[in-house]
Amino acid sequence: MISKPLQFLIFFNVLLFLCVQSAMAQENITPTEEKFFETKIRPVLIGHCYECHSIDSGMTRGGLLVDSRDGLLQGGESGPAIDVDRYQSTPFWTAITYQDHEMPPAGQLPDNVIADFKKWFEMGAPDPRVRKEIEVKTLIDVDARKSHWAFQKPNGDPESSIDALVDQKRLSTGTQPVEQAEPMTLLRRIYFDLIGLPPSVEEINAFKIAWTSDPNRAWQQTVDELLARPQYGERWGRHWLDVARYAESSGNGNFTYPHAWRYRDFVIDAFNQDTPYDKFIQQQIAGDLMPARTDSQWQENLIATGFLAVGIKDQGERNPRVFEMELIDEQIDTTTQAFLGLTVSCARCHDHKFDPIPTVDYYAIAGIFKSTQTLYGTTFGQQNHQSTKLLELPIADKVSASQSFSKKELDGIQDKINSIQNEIRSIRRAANSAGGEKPDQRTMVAKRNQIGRLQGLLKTVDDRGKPYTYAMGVQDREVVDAHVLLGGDVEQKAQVVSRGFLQVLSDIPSEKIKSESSGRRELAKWIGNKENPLTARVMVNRIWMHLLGAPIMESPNNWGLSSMPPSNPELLDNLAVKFMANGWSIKTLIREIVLSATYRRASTFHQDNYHVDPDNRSFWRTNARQLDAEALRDAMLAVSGLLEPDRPYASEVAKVGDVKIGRTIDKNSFKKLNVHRSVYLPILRDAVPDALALFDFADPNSTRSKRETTNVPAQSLYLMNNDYVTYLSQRMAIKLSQTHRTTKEQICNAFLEIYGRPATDGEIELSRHFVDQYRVIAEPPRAPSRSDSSSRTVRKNRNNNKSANGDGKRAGKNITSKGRRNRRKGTQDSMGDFPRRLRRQSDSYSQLPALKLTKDQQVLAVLCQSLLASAEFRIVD
Amino acid sequence: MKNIDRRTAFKTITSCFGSLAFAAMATGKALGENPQTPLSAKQSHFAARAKRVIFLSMRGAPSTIDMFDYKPQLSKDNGKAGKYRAAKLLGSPWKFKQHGDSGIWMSNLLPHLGSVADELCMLKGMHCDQPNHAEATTAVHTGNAQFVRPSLGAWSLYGLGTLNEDLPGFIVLGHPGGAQNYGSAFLPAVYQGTSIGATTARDRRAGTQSLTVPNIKNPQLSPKTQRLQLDYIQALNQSKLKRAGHQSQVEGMIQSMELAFTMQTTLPELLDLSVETEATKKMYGIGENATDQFGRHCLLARRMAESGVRFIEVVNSGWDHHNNLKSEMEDHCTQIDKPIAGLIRDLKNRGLLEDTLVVWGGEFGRTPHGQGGDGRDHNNKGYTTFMAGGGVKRGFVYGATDSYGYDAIEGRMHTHDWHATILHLMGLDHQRLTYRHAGRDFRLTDVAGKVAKDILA
Repeated sequence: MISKPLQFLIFFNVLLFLCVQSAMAQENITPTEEKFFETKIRPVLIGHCYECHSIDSGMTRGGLLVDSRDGLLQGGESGPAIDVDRYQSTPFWTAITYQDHEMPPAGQLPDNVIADFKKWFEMGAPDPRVRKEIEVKTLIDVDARKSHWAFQKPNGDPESSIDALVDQKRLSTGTQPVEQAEPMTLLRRIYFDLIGLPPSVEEINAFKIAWTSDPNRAWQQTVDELLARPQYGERWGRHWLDVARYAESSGNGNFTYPHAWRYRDFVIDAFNQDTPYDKFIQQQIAGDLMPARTDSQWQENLIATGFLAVGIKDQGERNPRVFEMELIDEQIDTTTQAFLGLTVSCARCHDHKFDPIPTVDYYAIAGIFKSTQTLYGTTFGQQNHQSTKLLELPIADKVSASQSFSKKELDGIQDKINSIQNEIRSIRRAANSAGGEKPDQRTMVAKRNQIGRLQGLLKTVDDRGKPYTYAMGVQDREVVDAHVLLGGDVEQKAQVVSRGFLQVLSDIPSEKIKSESSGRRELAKWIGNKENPLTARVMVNRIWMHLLGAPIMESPNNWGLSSMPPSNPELLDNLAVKFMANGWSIKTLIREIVLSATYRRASTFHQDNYHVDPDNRSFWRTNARQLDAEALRDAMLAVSGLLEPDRPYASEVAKVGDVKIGRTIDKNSFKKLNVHRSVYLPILRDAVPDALALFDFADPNSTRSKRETTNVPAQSLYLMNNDYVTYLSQRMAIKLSQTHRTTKEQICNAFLEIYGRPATDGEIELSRHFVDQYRVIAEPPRAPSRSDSSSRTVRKNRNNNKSANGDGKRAGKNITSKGRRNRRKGTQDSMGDFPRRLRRQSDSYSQLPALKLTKDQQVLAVLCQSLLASAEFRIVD
Repeated sequence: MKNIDRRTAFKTITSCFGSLAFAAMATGKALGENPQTPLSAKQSHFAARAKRVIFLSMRGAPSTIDMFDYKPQLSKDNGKAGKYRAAKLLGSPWKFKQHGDSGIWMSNLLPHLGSVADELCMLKGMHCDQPNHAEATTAVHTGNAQFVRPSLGAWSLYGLGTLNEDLPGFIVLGHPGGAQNYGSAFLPAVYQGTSIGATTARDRRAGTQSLTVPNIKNPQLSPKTQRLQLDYIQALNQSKLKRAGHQSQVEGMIQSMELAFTMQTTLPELLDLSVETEATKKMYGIGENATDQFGRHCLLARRMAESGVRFIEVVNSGWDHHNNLKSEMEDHCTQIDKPIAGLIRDLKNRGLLEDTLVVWGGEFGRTPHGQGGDGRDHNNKGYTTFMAGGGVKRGFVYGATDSYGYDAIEGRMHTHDWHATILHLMGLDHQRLTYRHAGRDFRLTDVAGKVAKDILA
């Protein structure tokens, strides 16, 4: 273990803040105005409002503070509370006059007080109240910490080879390299590493022949051929999607992101096209600001900025300032860890505990994102207080992923909206009439939400009902610098800091951020600059990790002072320098690594080496690794013959559109038989498909650099008992029995397909024995239990939603007569032209087709499933 | 026939899961040849008062002001203006009385719980940051509402390991709202909770009583054929291991495969309540319409506690009573009253209450003022939870709200304090139970949390 130079750092980590009474007060207040405020306004605010809207009370209801002029001007979730020029339409005025919000809630202010406020607004709302101005200072000595190795430029000799550098390290460690791996082992390894799929029997045979005549050529040809396949991008794009915490819903309230798939496809394509990594960075951070010669280039660049938009969000948050800073923090966290391997987010509330990143640096970057508008869509209402628009793309989809509507259907939706609006009006009227009761707030909110959802729907399509072509992403907006926030508290603003980058990396030449620019473009260039000591290293380390099963630098997302030094710094720097010299080409780097002798070593155990270097930090062998969730599922699909190799259009989530998971749609409705590669499965936060979640899929709630590898029993249970695995095994058995006659041939081919190598005599013997014994003891197969569950689905209780019943009926009467054809009770079925498919989606999911197997096929299926559940299938040597 | 089988099964279970046998087994596992698995029992920071926790989680925020927090002043001022809103104060529609030697107040919604009042430690000064369900529920489970953090159960398991490696160490019965509430976040996945319950909305609506563990049963193979299959798989695995010389993943898979196979028997056995006596089932209200489901879950919780599961969460949902307070509260209190009383009595009779901490609570409470005449709004500023057993004072009341029940004013206990106290009872110092992630040490209580020393027995 290497000790970490932390203790003494703590001493630098003192946060200073000074409180100064000054500034921020409104200037030029006349004594008369001040007197009016002090006698007529301030006492009312203190008496009736501060309890829920002041820093001292600790309450910021609706995100509004009224204890300073600043607070009133910035307002809360309904926008600025006051605007002296048009005060009569501002939330503050409409609330105190009880037009909508009814404030203060305990009873309307007397008329004379309201008249005072009117007068005050007409005076220009003079307000002498000032907030304490705070200045956050830091005592971190950034320069003194600059000497950390990762902040120095990589210093590698591009002439050295990988093998020479690994040998050097091994010599100093005292380990001996193990032998080169067997050709069959190598083939399986390179297939999984480069395309995430096993080689087919034909590919194995062809490789065998090629290897016999010229091993090196056979190897090179295989590598080049695999790098050129579209499956390469699907494999490597998925690695990046872990880092980019890609998902198709927002988490928390969990609203779908039906357009997120475009970013996913962009990433896959970028890997396939071998987009230079520095460009890849720029596209994701500032694609919208990059020059584009063609519409398709522009389109690609816009979609790329989805990187900043697909993160987790808490749209239930009502305070817009809190929501904004959470969003910005999420962007800073992902961006800095993904590209720089730095945990800049740690500096949000205080100076970074370990790294020379003062809080002011955090807010310098925060200003860049504060000047950026993040467009992620999501359905309004249903506890979503923070929905946005989306980016409309220059090239419209030829085929729409989401729902189109006929003219009739559009009318139906509009009718529905009108009818709900009528209902609201009539409820209001009833309430206002003599003896009327106050309307039930929950009903009203539900109705407004429903309108919001329907209006949202109309916004997704044009006049003819054709969906717009949208993407998630970002745009620049009004440029502002951010305030430092004391302790990260949005209500405790300290000094403003100019937009900028990290001081500790200030030696990197960068363009100065212009006053009219958000700074995103400059940030992207600064990150992708060849002088940046981190960017290339961080990426080559990720690539090395995926190929060798272990990184050179142990914590790929954290290169700060608390990290362990790299196991082989010379190798790391050499790779980084070459990566940049080769135009940031990822394919070139991968090619060089997999052609090395280091990559081609066996994973054999070696007692003496193990004694000296048990963690294999000197790479005396290849690390055997477990197939990750996607490779495991894809390989099972491949050997069953069911895999659909082509990319599906869009995503299951796109088809569903803008909904709230759990409310409008059950997450189980995505559990259909899907035969596409796993990268295309719907990735909903908090509802990741079992096949992935059980096998250590990267939690998409934040950027992930490494996946865990666990062996929990739930995985074994899945492999032994899951319907889907059983089904795939049966399909494989049917396939094998059709192409191979004898049991022996079938066994041999099962081994060849699943293990990627021929079965040994011992294994054939063992397997035959198993088959014989199975035939003796196995009872006739019982009917699969699926039939139980299908019978259960037949009639389910639809009357559980009592309140919807009443509403539905009433609404139905207001619409057209066509509703009569819907005879089902309950829910909102009698809706005229209101599109049927928009009603609550059924949560019954399609079952796997039942297969008829002969006894022999049945045994063979169990044998195949056994191989799929065994260690050799799950491990790549 | 069936009965005999069950009796035989009962013997097996008592020998497998009886507390004595299991204690011996746990020691064996801790000191035995394989102490290195991440789930092995670990030394606590200091002597633990509770070896395990049963968390009775009430989703939707129960109106504790109608259950435990007796407010005569509120009844007196019924109909007058409340504190924040135009809505009027709503005196509890239920009668309160004192119970047991301790004289703990409870309303007549909870007659059975009243009969075990002397076992309870009431926490009446609870408060939390968030008045929204999703956020507060996440905070109750993970200490944080904004970011994804490991859950309380995962932290417990990480700190202490499990007491029975043949079963999951952290089990959730019912639906605590989102996987992150029993997830392990950045802690290793072995610490995440195993959710047992009806898995689909369909089953939930159907009110299915049977509990399912995903993939626990092979749809086609008999146990005998499956053993044959497993032997085949393990033979392949062993030969792989032999070829590789030493490969920890293969060893891990062999063990996991074996444990999974065992769990196919142990878990359904654990979930099989037919081995319990009628008297026991009756005590939990099993067989009565209103209490059957929650009663089953509570009884299962006891069986799991007995079998060495470290952290058990039992969820009861539907406490969000903005309207229909009167009828809904009566329904829900009936659902939980007898089962919880039964659980506490049963644990006590078996000598398990001493080192089992039972914790009851929702994500927050409800306002003293009414909503629409027959409902209450969210109140995160003052509400009640309770604990029992595992090292807390018996028949004790800690903390109080103001005379209406709006704010906690005495013995204030924030969610962080509540977590710190639970960990403390399990022998863990919440400040030392940390995990290094993304460059810094994380803990359940973030940078806060104070152990409520006054409630420790």
